[in-house]
Order: sequence, then structure tokens, then C-alpha cells
Amino acid sequence: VRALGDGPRTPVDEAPTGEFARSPAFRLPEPFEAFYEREYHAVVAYAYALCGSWWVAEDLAQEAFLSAHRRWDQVGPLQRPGAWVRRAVTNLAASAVRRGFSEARAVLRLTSRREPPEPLPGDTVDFLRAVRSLPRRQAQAVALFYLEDLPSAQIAEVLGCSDATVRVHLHNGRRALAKRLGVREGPRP
Amino acid sequence: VTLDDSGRRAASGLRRAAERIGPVPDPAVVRRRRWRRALARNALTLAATVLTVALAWQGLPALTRPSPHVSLRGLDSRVVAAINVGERGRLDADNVTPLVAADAHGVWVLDASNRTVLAIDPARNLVANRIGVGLGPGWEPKGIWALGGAAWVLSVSKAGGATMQRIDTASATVSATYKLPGSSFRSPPDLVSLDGSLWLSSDSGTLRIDQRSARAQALPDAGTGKARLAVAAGRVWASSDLGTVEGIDPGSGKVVDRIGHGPESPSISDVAGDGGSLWILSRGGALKRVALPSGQVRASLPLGDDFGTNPIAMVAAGGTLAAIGPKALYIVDAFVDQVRAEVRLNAPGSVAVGAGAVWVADPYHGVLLRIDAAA
Repeated sequence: VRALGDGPRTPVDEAPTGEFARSPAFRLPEPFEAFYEREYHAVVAYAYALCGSWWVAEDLAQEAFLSAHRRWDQVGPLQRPGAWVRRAVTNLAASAVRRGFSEARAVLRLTSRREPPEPLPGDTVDFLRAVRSLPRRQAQAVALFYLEDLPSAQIAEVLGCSDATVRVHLHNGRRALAKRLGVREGPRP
Repeated sequence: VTLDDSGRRAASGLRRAAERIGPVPDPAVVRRRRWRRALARNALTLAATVLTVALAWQGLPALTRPSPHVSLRGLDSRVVAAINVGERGRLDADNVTPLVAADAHGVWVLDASNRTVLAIDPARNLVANRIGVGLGPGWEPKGIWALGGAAWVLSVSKAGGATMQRIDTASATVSATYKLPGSSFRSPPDLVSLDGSLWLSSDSGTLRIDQRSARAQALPDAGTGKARLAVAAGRVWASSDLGTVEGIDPGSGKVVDRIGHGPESPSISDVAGDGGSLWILSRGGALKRVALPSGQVRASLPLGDDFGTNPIAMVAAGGTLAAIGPKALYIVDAFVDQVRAEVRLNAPGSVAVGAGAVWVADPYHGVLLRIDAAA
């Protein structure tokens, strides 16, 4: 683990900017290894919800964790280091949509792919496909709301915007999602 | 079913699937994989950059290079090709003549400003090769000739030196260099070949250059002052300002004949030999063929008004004689003493006959014109 992050600089070094909640002064930062072990699969799942490919999702998650490890002296003391990593994944996924898929496909041919042993349930696939069809910011907010089960304040921390903005994105995103899936929207969160 | 139900089920299914993708990868492995990928990406970027630069390096000169051919629109219909030989739309022809030379196998153009000889492929009408003839600062090419299966370039220096370079036409390289005794070449020089020697006119007389020994000998009594040279009937003939043509014996180098050209046209513009006859072109455009050694005029051909009163040059080869004036080219059948064609041209500067055609260099427009010799 100590060697993590010693490699060449990558685009993920454009680290997330903005305010993240600081831990109280007496809190010691969690070791990176424990944080990495605990959060890895959840971050991969979030990345998959945004990009729709397990290989790209793992790639994005690893990039984000590498970046966090390089700055662990800054990221570790944060109250929620996971929010920092998720914002990195959010930014990477947005740029990956623009430029990363061709590279991912090319590398895919050369790298052994690790797919889940069983395919996702059909309704899960439909739901995620509908999420990805939303406008980018709405899709990010909805993914964090349902898949990470985060309240709007923490979604705002991840996305780097205000709580009110997140609520607007969630409202519009949920309405569009319900229409596309043909289900009732349900009570307002 | 509400949206929240669907969302919860999707979140649950996605988390289970994420757990099944395998254990958390070893960070060291991840780091190595990323390191290799970054190296590959950088190598690809470098290769693409090198490839782009290489393509640009190759492609840009082609884009900026002028087209090898010039439109024939507006030219006389007997001009069958116009080859672009001037990089900046013209050839530097100040005090440089002749600019074009030809023999049975090839055609060469002297680009004096670039100190380069352009080898023309007569089969494709293209510049096939560029041969550097620069001798260093202060040296200027003065003319080019095609004699004895080679092209010859005379260069003079500001300090008074003169050098003749032999260009081997097969290898397109300078194969020999002859240093000449100090001579002045204010008047356009002329060069002929006879009996293994080159004969070069200069302001101070004719120079004989032995090709085998590379020795140059000045013949001050023969062909002084604006002399034009021709070979006919086994002798070198040099015109003079006085309207006479002197016959030089190639063995002794002495003047052994003198042909009076007549008082009505004393100034000779050029002479050309073809077999046993000597052609004399005078100011005003009078072209005469005289028999040798008697000097009797056998034919007289007044060239047309388009020729102008100041003929520029005349060459003869293989029974075809070509003469250029300021506005026209005349092609004469030397066997029957008849003008075969009159070709109107814009600004001819030099003429050569060879490779089955008549070649005219237009230095003002930087083009070499090919005219069908049988026109």
C-alpha cells in the first residue's frame, strides 16, 4: 500500500476542489488501507451507475483512490473522505463519458475482464439505464440518492453545489425517471 | 410499485453485483498497471507526435512547392509543355546565359540564384533531379552547355577566378572540376567541344581546355570580344565584333581562316555549325548559311518581324536550327534551308535543341518551354 500513488501523474490529479467538511481536531485520520477496503466496492457500484461498464467503473474507482492516497494527509482528516472520492469519480465519469470509452474499449481487449458472475436483475438494469439517460447532473444526484442512500446535504457536498440545487436536481430527476420507468414517483424525499 | 421501491431494489442488486466483481485489488498491482498504462499512453502520444511532425515535414514542402507544370493557356499551340523551373516564379538570368542545354538524352536548366542545375526528364517533362554547383561565397554560375555526353557549368568568382564543372548525366553528380586561368566574362561566354578539348570564349580571347590533362590554354589571338563559337568542318569558328568569323585550327590553336561577313550587316549575334556549314545570325534577323572553307553564302533567310532586331541566341543540332529573338522562336530545317516554324513567345532567354525537341527557357516567368522540333 505504501507504494500506491508513486506512479506517473494522471488526469485524476486534477483533484476535486471545493469545501469538504473537516473532522474535529481531535479525530485521527483513518488509515488509508482500511478506508480503501471498506469503500472500494461501494465506489465501484456508484461509478457503474454513472458509466454502465464494470471495467470502466473499476478503472474510475482505482483512479480516484490513487488520487486520494497521494493526498491522504489532506483527504484523510476530512469528516467524510468517501465524499471526496465520490466527487473524484463523478468528475472522472463525466470526462470518461466524453473521452474515455474508446480508450477503455481498447484496453479491454488486452486486459482480462472481471464481470460479475451473474448478470444484474432486469429491473436493476432498466433502472440504471434510465438514470444514465437523465441529464448528467440529475443522474449524479439521483444515483447518490438511491444507490448511496445519501441525504441531499451530503449529495451537495459530493457534487460541490448547494443543498437547494441538489433538491431541484432530485425533484426533476425523479419525475423524469418515474415517467420513463412507468411507475409512481412516490412521496417527496 | 413506486420509484423509491425500484430505486431500493436497484441499489441492492447493484451492491451485490459490485461485491461479486472480486476482492479489492492489491494497490501495488493497481499502481503497476497504471504505471504501464501511462507509459503506453505517453509512448502512443510521442509516436503520434513524431508521426505528425514527420508527415508535416514531408507534406509542407509539397504544399508550398509550385506545381511542376504551367498552364499552356495563351501560349503558341506548338508549345507542348511548360515546366516550372523557377522557385520564385522566375529564373535569375542577369548576366547568365545560356540557361538551358540539351543533347540527345537529357535537358538541363541552370538555376543560378540557387546554384543548382535542374535535370529535366524529357520523357515526363518534369524536373527529375537537382544538382548543386555552388563553389562557395563569391562564385556565380555563368552558363550551362551540353557537350560530349555531359553537362558543363562555368562559374566565375568576383576575384577573377573561373572554374568549369563537368556534370555526369548518368549519376547526376559533378564528376570533374577544371580551374581556368583568370579571365573576364562580362560578355556572355560560349563553349564548344572539338578533338577532346573544350573551347571557351572570354573577353580576352578563347580558352582551350584539354579534358584529358585538365590543362587550360589561353589563345589571345582568336575570338576576342563578344565572340560566339561554333564547330564546323573540323574547325572552331569564333565570331568577332568586326563582323568576321575566324576559323581556329584545333591542333595549333591558331587562326587559319577568316570569313568576311559583308559590310551591310557587320555585327554578328551568334554562329552555329552543323556538319560542313556555318550558320551566321546577324543583327536585324538575317540568317545566312555559308559554305566552308570558301565562305560563300549558300542560303539567306530573313527572319520575320516578330523576331525583332536583336537576336538573342541560336543553336543547331541534328539538322535542326533554332534561333530566338525577343518575341519569337524560329525553327529552321538545316537540310533544305527553310524556316519550318515560327513560334511566338513572351520572353525567351535561352534555347537548346535535343531530346527530340526545342527547349526555350523563359527566365522572366521561370518556365522551360518544350516545342516540338518537327512543328
